[in-house]
Amino acid sequence: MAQSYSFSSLRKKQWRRSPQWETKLIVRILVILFAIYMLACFLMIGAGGYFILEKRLPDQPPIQWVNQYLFYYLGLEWLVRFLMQQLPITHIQQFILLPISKRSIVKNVMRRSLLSAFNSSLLVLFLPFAIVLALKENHILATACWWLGVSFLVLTIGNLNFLVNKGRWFYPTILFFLLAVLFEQIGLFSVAKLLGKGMQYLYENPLALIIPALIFLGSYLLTFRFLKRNFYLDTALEKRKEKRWGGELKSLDRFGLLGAVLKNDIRLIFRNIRVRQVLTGALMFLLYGLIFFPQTMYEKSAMEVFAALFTTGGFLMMFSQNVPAWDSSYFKLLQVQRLSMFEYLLSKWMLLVFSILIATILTLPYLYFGQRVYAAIVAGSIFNAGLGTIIGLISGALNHTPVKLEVRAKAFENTQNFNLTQLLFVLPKLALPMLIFWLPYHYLGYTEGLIALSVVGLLGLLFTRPLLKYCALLYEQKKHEMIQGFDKNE
Amino acid sequence: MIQFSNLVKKYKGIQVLEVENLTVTAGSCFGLVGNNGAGKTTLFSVLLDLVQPTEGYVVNKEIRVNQSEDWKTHTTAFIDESFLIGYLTPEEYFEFIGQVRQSPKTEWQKVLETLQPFFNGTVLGQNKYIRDMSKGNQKKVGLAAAFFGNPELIVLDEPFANLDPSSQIQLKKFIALQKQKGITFLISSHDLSHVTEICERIVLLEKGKPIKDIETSPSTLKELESYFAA
Repeated sequence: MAQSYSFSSLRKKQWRRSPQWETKLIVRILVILFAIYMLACFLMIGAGGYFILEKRLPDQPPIQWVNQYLFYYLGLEWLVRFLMQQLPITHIQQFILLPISKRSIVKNVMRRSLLSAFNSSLLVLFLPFAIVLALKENHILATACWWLGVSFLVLTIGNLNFLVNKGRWFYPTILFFLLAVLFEQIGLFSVAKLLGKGMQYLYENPLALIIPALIFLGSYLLTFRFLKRNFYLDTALEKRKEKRWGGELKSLDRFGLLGAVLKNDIRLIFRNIRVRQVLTGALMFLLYGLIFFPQTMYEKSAMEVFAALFTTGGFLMMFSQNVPAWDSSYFKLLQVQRLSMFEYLLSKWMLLVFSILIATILTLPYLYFGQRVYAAIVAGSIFNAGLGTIIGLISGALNHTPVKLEVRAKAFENTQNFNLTQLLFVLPKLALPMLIFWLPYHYLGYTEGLIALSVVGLLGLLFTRPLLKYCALLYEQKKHEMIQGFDKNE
Repeated sequence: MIQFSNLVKKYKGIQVLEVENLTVTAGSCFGLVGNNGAGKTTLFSVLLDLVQPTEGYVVNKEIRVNQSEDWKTHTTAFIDESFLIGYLTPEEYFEFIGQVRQSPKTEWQKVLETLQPFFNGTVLGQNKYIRDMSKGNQKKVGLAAAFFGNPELIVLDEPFANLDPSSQIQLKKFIALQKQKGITFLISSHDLSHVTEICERIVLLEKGKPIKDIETSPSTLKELESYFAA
């Protein structure tokens, strides 16, 4: 108990003493507000779910329907966790050599993961449903056991996420879900039905609770063993050496100073895991349009433009928010060289514009959904290139948290570049273009909205030089703060 | 060459540096010694405009360092590993620094050639990223690049730390050679014998204040040792 107390006090200090903790506090508050909103939604679905199902599907008991779709819910939950959940296993290395037993560290990590917000669905979604169910059908013991069974399964998914994120379980898990969906489609075998029947059996025979309990226990032990074993893997001794990447990029030498910086930036992107993750992320963003463009209900809607902005702006958003921070490990070097902030930013700007250009070409297949869709994409990319880049670079100037470029995808280090906190910073960046589109769209029409977006983007491109000069001024003003921030290790 | 005037640096109200008046003349080697926390690195950081002084200013060749960036043309520095780009090979790093300092390739390659004994075959042609090299070899890379582009002032923080004995001797030789060309050096070190050997003048910092200013003589080492022993 004493040990677990000292752990949480260390965590508190780490958080309170980290650079820019005030900004982080504000973000944390926004996250909490968002969480409260989500909580309310879940509570309503959970408590009201029984009545809705009863009304909509009068021939089927609500519990049966829930059991039937539980498998899909679990699959979805895993996906969301995989993308969003930050596992509480970072910043552990410093404890490894201290006389705190590994068992207690791993136990602490796993206990903290139990308290994760992602497990709250049990309390806010399934518990209200179970309570209504118990009251309506009067099987209190059965319902309690059923709820516990669901809980064990959800917690198992949580454990699985450790193994998927940090171990070698990623492909097996994906394969399992794909095969399950495939077998379901061709009618060979249905995992969902099996689980549904199992849960129905559990509801009728509370003793069967032992099966999900054993599954959970197994996954717990497996994860525990995995985490304990991985304490060794990440020591400095086993530092992985990366293969050299890339050609000489000689063609850039012609551009003098700018060429040298650009060359460096290209190497930055391809030689560091952390930045390469941004690149893969940007490729995923290209597919974002698939969610909206095929559906007629979004035709000529603001949502369509929103999707278009995202589709080509993935790299822009993820790269620009860390603009001086990518160079944090050698920022001082750049500051004593005869390299003006303008040239530094121009190089980054060119990379961003280039990424948007590539994305616009790669999204040509969206023409399949009609010229209107692609017109939205082009308008979006013109805006992104003209003004989005500048906004991105300005937002980057406020980020003084150093970036570790070679954070490896192994246990005990935070490797996720995609989380809720960063997502929130994206919101103001999207609100402005949406406003520019929406005003003429609302009063004049869809095409006028796209034109407005393009015109603003073109104006941005026309005034790139003065805009970048302004950014350079901002960066110069913030220079000493940046150096100070980058000096601190998180 | 350099003039520190009424320099005060405070961090959250605590004073870490107070240098009333200190002048470094051109073409000399200026040594800075002092225990940890004496303010050596802070003094260098203020000189390189990496840290803003709370009061006072630094003039580098008639240029106030926080008002114009022109001093960057004739000044180079190697302070710590934040002057290295980890994901480049040494060759790529040298090329980058050469290009940024606008030094022709032939010129900086000549510098590397004269540094061959210093590298001792462990730096070039290893096909390794700098981040994968040992601390000592990383240091060699950073120090070498500080001689690119005909600098007039070279600032080195702890250049001898982490270097193997042969490299330390080679580095001293090389610095002596460069001094003859009229380059000014600003060097801090914990190694008293090295500084007394290469510097004409040594300033001892304690709690941010210069408390001794010594013209190096055969008795200097003894004098410094007895100070630190006390």
